[in-house]
Amino acid sequence: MRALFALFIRSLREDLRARLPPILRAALVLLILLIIGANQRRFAWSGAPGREFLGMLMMLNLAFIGVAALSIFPSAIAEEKEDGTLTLLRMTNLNPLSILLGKGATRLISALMLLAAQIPFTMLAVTLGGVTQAQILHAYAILGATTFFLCNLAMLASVYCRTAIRAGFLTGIIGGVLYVGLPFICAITSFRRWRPGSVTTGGLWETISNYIFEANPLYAMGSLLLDYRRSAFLSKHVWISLGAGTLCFLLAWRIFDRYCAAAEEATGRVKKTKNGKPRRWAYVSRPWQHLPLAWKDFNFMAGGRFGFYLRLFMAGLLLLGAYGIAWSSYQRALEWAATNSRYSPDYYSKASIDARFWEQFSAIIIVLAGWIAALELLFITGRIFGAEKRNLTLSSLVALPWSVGKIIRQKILGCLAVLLPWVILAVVGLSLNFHEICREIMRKITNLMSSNEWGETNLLTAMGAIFYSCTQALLSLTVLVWFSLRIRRGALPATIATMTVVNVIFGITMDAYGRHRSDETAILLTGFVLSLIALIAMCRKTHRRIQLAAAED
Amino acid sequence: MEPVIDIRGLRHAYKTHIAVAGVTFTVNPQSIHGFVGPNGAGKTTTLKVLATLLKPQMGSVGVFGRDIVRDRTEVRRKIGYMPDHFSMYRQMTVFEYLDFFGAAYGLSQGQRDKIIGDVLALTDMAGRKNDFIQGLSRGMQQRVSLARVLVHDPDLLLLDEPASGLDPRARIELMEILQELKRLGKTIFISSHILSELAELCDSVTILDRGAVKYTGSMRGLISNNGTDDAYAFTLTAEHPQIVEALNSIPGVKSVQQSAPGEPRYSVTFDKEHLTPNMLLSAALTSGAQIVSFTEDVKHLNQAFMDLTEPGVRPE
Repeated sequence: MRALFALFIRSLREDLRARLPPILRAALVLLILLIIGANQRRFAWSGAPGREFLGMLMMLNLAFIGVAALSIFPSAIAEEKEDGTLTLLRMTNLNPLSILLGKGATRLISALMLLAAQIPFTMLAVTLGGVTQAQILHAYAILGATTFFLCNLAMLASVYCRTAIRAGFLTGIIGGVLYVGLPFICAITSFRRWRPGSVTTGGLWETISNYIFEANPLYAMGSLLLDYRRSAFLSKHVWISLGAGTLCFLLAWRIFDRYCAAAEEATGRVKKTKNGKPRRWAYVSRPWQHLPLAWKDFNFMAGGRFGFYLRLFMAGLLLLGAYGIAWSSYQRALEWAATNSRYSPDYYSKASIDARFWEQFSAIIIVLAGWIAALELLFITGRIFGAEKRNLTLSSLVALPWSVGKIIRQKILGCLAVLLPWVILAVVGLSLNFHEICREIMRKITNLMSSNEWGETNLLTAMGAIFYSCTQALLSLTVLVWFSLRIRRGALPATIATMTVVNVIFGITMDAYGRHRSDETAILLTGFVLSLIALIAMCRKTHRRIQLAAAED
Repeated sequence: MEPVIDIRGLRHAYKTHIAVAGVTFTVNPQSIHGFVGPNGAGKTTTLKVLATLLKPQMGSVGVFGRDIVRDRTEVRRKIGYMPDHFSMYRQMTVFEYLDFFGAAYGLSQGQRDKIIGDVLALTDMAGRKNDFIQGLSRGMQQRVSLARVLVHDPDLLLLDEPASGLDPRARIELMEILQELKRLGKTIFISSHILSELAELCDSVTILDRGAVKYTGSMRGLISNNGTDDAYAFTLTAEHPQIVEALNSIPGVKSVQQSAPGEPRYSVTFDKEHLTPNMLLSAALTSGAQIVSFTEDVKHLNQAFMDLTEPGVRPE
């Protein structure tokens, strides 16, 4: 029994002694207070300010849990495999259960502690009105259960995969299918069933659909916030998540011996062709003469040609999926028009429905391409220098007769290739509705050039918003690179947490300045200037950090 | 002859911890220079300064007559730095790894093909050029590291404990490669915390302890106590007390010691300015001793190291 909990107790002890967890918990609590402070004016306009606040906080927590599920939880066992220390653990009295408890459960407890630390402060929402104490507790039960499920799912992936990156990727795919893909399919098939003249209710698919929706934390949270009478602490979502999480844990335990044997560690498993060449998914060319580092990162970080073609294939699938959604909507509109066109003949004319089809098809593609490109960019930025630091190869790079700037430029160039398929997808989306989009842009520009009732042109405000967004995006990426050089794991959650705190502070400053001046342009320009100063400071800090990290290798 | 490395008053501290405090020494061209010291002596910090990864906080560091801060890019082209850990892209093959670094140093494809063939032959890795690095043994990875350092044909090699973690055979083979590189005209600056490991390899040595230079000069000078004394050992077929009297009677002999009672091994320390090893050998033969071997006393080397460095762990 002592051996069973040895690693678990040691991890808990380390967590208690560590400086970072209590600081994180305190920062999160501070963030809650800052959100209340920053949004008190906006909440005052709402009929239910407490609910608004709770909704915002829950979404923030779900985002954190999602990021932790992709970055912190999957490293539990896989990091031991990567470091080659799993064999040493297996040589002791520790059995698979104790290793899973020690490595996985402590991460889960740390995450649950982060949630628990918030509860007393979130209770302040009751005093704002529009939300009950039971709703708050229920919301945290949903968060806790979701965390439990995702942590165990990530641990299962961690046992199965050889590296933490792969485990994170697998968790992301399964999570994406469960929380996005399946509800999406259910929504479409439900619509097909619900169309006029073919309504069927009940049945197995209906029951499965209900369970899929109930298992979705966003759906569960939405239902909870809409229904103040809902007070059952252990809802269907909680039971489903706890059950699925337990199942994942048991499965991880069951397959542990098979996938965590010494031979399965990160090294080895080199396959060759008959003529002695290494077997690879795709051909790797000779280094590009003037861009060798870009070649390296393209082939060995961004997935190379195989990764590129795979992304192109995925983009093609998305294109087909988007077409399916738009076509489904188009058919519904046609059916609807057949019976209701007399109410609004212009809106239900064939030409109008056709135009809306291309508009919807184009919009879905552009939004999907944008989201995926942003996610890819975040993940690749987290690895661009972090992987060099982890592999102890940064000193070899920095010792080249190149400036750090040249190293950064070539690395960015090599990794940008991952975005190309999504850029192509977005261009396809744009070209599908090109005339309409151009017309809309021209209309916006004309509006922006015209003066408002106070005689100010809106162009400056729009420019302020664009500059502010761009500097914020660049600042986030720079902070991510900096964190990846500072900490071994969890650079992405740390960046999101930091940027949230920074944005709340910026928001308060901008709000205070704007309230004084009553000028939206001034607010945005203040934000832009603040972000720009922070960006320049972070660029300098990151540049220096790269040199220091190379010397620390 | 202008020194390849010229360090004067180098000082570097990490916050409050002084890693290197006023280090001064030079290294001659086309020589192998050992950089020896116990763990935490400041060897790696000095090497990182020489490799231009750290800026010297005080003092001047010159490589081939160029300042490492002002002419950093030129210095980097002339040096090859091998850190004390495996700094490798494990998902590449050996050839891809060397090809990548060759291209990074601006070599054309033709030049790369030729030089990679040469360095793989030198390091005896030609047969494994299509192997993934992750599948290689530690000794082979060390060879690949060395090949990577040589790929741009640097004049100065900075090797940080290259033999650590290698088995005895791999160590010997590595030393043979270094000897060959010296013959090819390279200057090699090699750090280690084991002096005897470098005894046969190095022409000169610098001993560092607690951030300060304790000795710098030729290997022979270190053994012979700053150039005045030398030590040799006789191994006989049997114990022979007369050899002690015979050797002690020679002017210039400072001490003659039997290694242990009953053991036929005698160590002689003498003033090398007045005596030669031949004169000792002649006197020993005259005394009637049956000599099995007559060699330089290696124990003396370790003793010299122990005398120069302080015991215990360096205080913060």
